[in-house]
Amino acid sequence: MTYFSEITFLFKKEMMLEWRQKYALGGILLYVTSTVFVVFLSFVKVLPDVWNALFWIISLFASVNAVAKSFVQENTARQLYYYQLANPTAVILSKIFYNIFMLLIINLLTFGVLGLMVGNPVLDTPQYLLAILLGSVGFSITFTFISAIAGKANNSATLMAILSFPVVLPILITLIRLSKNAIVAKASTWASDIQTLGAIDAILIALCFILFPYLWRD
Amino acid sequence: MKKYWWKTLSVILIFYTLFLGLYAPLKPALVDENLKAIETAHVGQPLTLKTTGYNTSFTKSKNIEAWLTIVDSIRGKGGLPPVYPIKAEKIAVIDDTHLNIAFQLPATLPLSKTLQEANLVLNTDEEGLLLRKTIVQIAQDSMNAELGRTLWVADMDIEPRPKKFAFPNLEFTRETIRNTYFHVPMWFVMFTLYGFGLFYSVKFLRSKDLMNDLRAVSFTLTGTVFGLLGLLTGGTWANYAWGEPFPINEIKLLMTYTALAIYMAYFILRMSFDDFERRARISAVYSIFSFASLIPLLYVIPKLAQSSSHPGNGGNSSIATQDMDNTMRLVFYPAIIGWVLLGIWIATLVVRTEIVKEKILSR
Repeated sequence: MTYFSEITFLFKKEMMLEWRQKYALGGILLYVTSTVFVVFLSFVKVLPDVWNALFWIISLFASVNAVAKSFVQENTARQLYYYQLANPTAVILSKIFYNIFMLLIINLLTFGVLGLMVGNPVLDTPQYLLAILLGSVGFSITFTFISAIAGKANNSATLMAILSFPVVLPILITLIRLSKNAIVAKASTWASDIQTLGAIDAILIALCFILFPYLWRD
Repeated sequence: MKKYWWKTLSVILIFYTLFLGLYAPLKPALVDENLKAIETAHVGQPLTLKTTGYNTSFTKSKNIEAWLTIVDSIRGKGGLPPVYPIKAEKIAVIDDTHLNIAFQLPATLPLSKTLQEANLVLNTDEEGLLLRKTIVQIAQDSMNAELGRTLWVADMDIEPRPKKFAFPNLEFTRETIRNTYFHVPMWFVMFTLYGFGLFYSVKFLRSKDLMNDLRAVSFTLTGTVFGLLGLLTGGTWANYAWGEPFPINEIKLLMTYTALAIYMAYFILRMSFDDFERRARISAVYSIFSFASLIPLLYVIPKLAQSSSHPGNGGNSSIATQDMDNTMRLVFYPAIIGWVLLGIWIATLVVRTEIVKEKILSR
């Protein structure tokens, strides 16, 4: 098997696992809708800045919960079996790609449900969707790698949050700036924000590639 | 002894910094003593300005001259805005830091405005030129700029300021400017030590030598201590210069919190392993991964950010443009070298105590 076909095969495996155990995906979707419902109940009118903050808070926590299980749901023995069958970096890359796909769905759903129930103040929708895409990519790379690290430790659920939030903060700050621009439809600085996000994503994915071989061996 | 020359150097440089940085005076300047609102005077009337100096010695000066100047907002010939001065009628020296200066304001202003701000320019034997911007506002009811320009004329021959070793006396920093030699080097030390920590983490992954892991964690720990010191010195400074210790919209502060949070997480991650080799390997991977996200965090985003009170941010280039002069550089650069060497020294001491601890535990 070539490297690329390994990735596509593992990607399909992730999807199949998700489809068989629907409780995880269902739980995330319920989390998103119920959080939005709480927002709907507690605010009379949501200001654009607050709307943006709420969106990224919901998205951040939903993403952490969705990605955290990447390296936890399968036991260590089965993971070792994968690493023998396929290239270990192909395993993590397939998980990253799968998580990008899943986070994109979750974030778009959050965007839709929040817009439907609370109102949508975004003026430049394509730019906001671009922020969601770049955010999903950044979150997915960071959280997948951190979950691989946390999976090695004893109490991985607590560690996941502690380890990932400081690392994801630069991505989050840039995303909030970019999406704020999209809300007020100002086209001044978004090119540099996209460059920054792209650069961070590129650095992190390159490091995943370099560092993962040191991580999986036990 | 030859091997430890850098330790001696660091001690000498830090003593030099402490001595010169705290002992050298600030340049004399005119200050606003009680931050009151600007007075308003009317044209054609006498005006007495009570002036306060800082680090001045008015009683020693034989000659003190003063002018009230109005600067046009439109640029004139040669790119410079034209200046219209009048000379003081009488100057009464009260003590070394207080002067009462009496002016007779002309009948009209040189500009077509009803309200105009004027600056005070002093020339003394001891201090040379002293300037206080916007000391008074002058109001007029009718405008006659043509006549005003013939009335606002005086000779201003200012002698070059006598050269003394003194630090800049800026309006918002005053004496706190000395903190530059202590606050800024903390960040240099933190980054150098984190850099060493990263270097030893990479070295550990390549060699699997637990000694390198011990070095990595010791350098990172010392770096974090210096980061906290930087936060502390910065907070103290900000309390005086900006009015609050930790302003929420200060992007550099946010970045520092994040950087420290990453390394706190690094130590928590280390605590959750029992196996030495595993702990060393996984924490090395995490420290390399999180350091990569720190680079854009500390250098790229602050430049993009619109608001920062730190010099060299929010679109400006780097340190040392208008905020630092050559007298400050004479202390600032040695201070950085001295503190960085001291930080490395402390880190190596931490490494040695850790080795001793391991030896005692394994006995």
